[in-house]
Amino acid sequence: MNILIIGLSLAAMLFLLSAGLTLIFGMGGIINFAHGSFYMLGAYGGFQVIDSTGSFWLALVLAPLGGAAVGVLVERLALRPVYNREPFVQMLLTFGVILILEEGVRAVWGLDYKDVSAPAVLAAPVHVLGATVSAFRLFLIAFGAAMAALLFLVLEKTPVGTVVRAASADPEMVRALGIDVGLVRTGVFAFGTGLAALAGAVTAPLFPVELGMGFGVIIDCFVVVVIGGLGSIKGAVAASLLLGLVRAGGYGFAPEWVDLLSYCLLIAVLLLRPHGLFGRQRRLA
Amino acid sequence: MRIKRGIVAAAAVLAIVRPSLAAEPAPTSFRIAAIIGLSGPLAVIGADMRRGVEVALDERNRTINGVPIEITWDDSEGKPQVTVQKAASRIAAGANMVFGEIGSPATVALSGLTEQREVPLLVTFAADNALTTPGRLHWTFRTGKNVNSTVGVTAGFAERNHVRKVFGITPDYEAARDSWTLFKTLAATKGIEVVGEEFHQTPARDFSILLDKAMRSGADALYTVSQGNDAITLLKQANEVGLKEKMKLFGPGMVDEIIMRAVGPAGVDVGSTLRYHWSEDFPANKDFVARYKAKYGELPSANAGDAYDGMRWWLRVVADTHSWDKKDWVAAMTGSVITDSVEGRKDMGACDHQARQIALAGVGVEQTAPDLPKYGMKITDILQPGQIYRPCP
Amino acid sequence: MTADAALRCQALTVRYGRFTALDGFSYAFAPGRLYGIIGPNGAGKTTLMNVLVGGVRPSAGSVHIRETDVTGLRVPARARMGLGRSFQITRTFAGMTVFENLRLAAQASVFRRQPLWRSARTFPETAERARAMLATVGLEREADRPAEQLSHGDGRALELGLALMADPAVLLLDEPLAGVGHGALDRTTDLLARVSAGRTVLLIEHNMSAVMRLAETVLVMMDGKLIAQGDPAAMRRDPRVREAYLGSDA
Repeated sequence: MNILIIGLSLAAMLFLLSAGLTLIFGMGGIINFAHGSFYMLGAYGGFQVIDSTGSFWLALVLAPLGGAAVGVLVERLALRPVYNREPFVQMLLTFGVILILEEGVRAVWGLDYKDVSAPAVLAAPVHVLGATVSAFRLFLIAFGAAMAALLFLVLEKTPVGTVVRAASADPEMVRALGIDVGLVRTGVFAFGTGLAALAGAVTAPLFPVELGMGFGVIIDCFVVVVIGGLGSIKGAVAASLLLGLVRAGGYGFAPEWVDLLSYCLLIAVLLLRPHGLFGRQRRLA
Repeated sequence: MRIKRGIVAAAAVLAIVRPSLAAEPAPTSFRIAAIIGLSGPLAVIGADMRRGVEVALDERNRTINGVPIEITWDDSEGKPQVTVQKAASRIAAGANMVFGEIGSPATVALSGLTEQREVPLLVTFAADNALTTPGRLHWTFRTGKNVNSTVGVTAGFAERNHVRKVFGITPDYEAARDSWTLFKTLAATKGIEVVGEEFHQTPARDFSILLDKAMRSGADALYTVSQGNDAITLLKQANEVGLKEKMKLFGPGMVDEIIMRAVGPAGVDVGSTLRYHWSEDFPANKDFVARYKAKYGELPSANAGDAYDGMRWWLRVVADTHSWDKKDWVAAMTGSVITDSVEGRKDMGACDHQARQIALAGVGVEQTAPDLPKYGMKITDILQPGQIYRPCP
Repeated sequence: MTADAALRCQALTVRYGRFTALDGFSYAFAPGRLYGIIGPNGAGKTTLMNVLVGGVRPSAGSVHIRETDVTGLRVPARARMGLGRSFQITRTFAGMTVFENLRLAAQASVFRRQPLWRSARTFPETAERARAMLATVGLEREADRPAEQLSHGDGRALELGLALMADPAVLLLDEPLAGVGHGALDRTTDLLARVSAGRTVLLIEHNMSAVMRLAETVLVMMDGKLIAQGDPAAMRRDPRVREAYLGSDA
């Protein structure tokens, strides 16, 4: 029971982390290495909001807005000029963004760790079917599931979702229909970085809030995105669940082998389905 | 790149074959090569060590026997290869001594280099016993505490807190496993039963399953060797399930001022060994804390205090030799005694180059004094050197 | 006639380094006429198309839509001024059904006025228009199939439907029959004839019989220049045209 709940909470965190990355990749083919830095930015932003106002919930609103605002700047100033260049140029640029964000956070908040605690309502453990679990984890599961549902509905059922999916498939054709793809790209990039910042803020009560925190999570993000299929939200959900439960099981039975287990899962999926669980080959390069 | 490496190698060869004179002439400067982690996860430690050393240099007006002290700070990135590479080029350029690194693997690698090049190495952080195995290293000195001493303190802490059954969580690397094994041996002599153990990868992403096992094990205490980020993750996630209300939580170096700032209420009442602490009641410490606060506007951390104390001691010994021969410094440091360190008397072991000193145990506390951070550490026990260290034969 | 041209090019020139792809091309396209543009490979037809839609910036010259200078406008802005296009290689949105493809195009034509976060179902207008277009291009039975699974001919029909959704006054068709199988050729040609009514159409096509059947005026290009123009029958006889095609594989 505990393994299931903890596995689901890990899955929720993995999904929140990787959804933005996969969305951004799906849109412009951009592999945003700075995703982890936006996650860090969200955690620090969340800390700042809680420190100033005392409200964790307000942090969940303001941190992603901040992340999205920085995302707009990065997309407009750094990425827009290089969409048509070789992928390594974009990769180098996102690496540059990592350095800038890290220096920025260091300048504003210093080298110290920051303390972010769960809100009082969620601080006490609860007992579910004989297991002691944290109320905060149950909240995370619900929050992750709600975000997944919301993203899915927006992408599949709203006009803006249709535009985003179409622009991922063929930006030139979308332009020919009279839609400003640049605006859509900026929007999606900002939304993706906002999601990363949200993940940073919402998981801050569980992890160290420090300058290096982005590097650890970016690998997890890539594992999820590659297993799920690049650019697929459905895939991100499935891969997060798979990886979260495998990890929880791993911690239960062989905690020293958890990372190895994750990578084996990655390799197995790639051997059986090279494009990931829900990936498809892109028709146009 | 190849050319640069060639020059470095040539310089290194020249440095070695340079004929040593009977009495070394006074150099134009006394060069300290500090190689510590200044970026990445170690930066928070490295930055404080640097501050501590700077205060020690200021105290001497940055001169030694009339010669200016020149210190270079290189970022080791926490990696053994980078540490050795940067130290080698500093030594080739004429460094008189080396200060560093932070992590045990990098420091052990660094000691290999300084032994070979016959340059003194001052260690204030790394606790690996391999650095002070009797008779092994001639040029390396540790003024900070070693693993054996910290584990001894935690075993004493368990006894005083009436721990009966303990569950262990240990990172899966050799030094940590050794530390846990040592604790188990000590615990057995005190009648403490080990009811379960788990090993985790580091960095660890989630502890909740391991913590759940600990809570179901029937243990009344959780002992963990996890450090730094792992310790923070563990404490935050232990707090999530209210573990502290059910079990005592403690470990060697588990919490300090830095970690308390990171975990806040989740660190309160957690037991730990302490290295240096700003509240230690010695005249030299009062003096140091005042200088440090004046310069940096905050209390010195354990890392800053240890670095200060080690550098101050070493520079004093060098000055007292009135010699510029490294061999004279090493001879003087071996078996030297400082009676007015920030932690009272320290004796440098002649057999192992490990400083004998008092050891501290403490717990995380919420602090209310206006000039203190909200969360910090309180010393609960002070152990005398005789209780922890074996004397040199 | 120049005064009320639907689309006018003025001395358009495109250079790529030392290579001149389009060399001082000027022409006024009258409203409601279908123009066939022919010429050997490398004559500059596709470059002309790209300059007209706004994908390629000309080195010199200007483009006017209904006498408004649009040379500085980008693709989406020109599309909103009534310029539609199809691509040389069929382009539809993979991963979306035929119906969704058309609904997107319907939505694009009213993009700026809609509250985009509401469910697509609450916009009956776009769905109605998409359904009507299914009938126009003859894809009613394929409505729920993913676009990437369509045959070449049906893919062309869908692409055309996407371009028509905005009811463009000017339609640029870049080899709309390329890759369409023999069986579907007549059907697609009929469709082109049907949807061209009332619009200014620029048709680039290598299939001569289709061009001769559909076009009212044929423009012949070579080396980036307009070398001849006239009605299809006259162009078929023109010696310059025969010369242009001699030795070429078209």
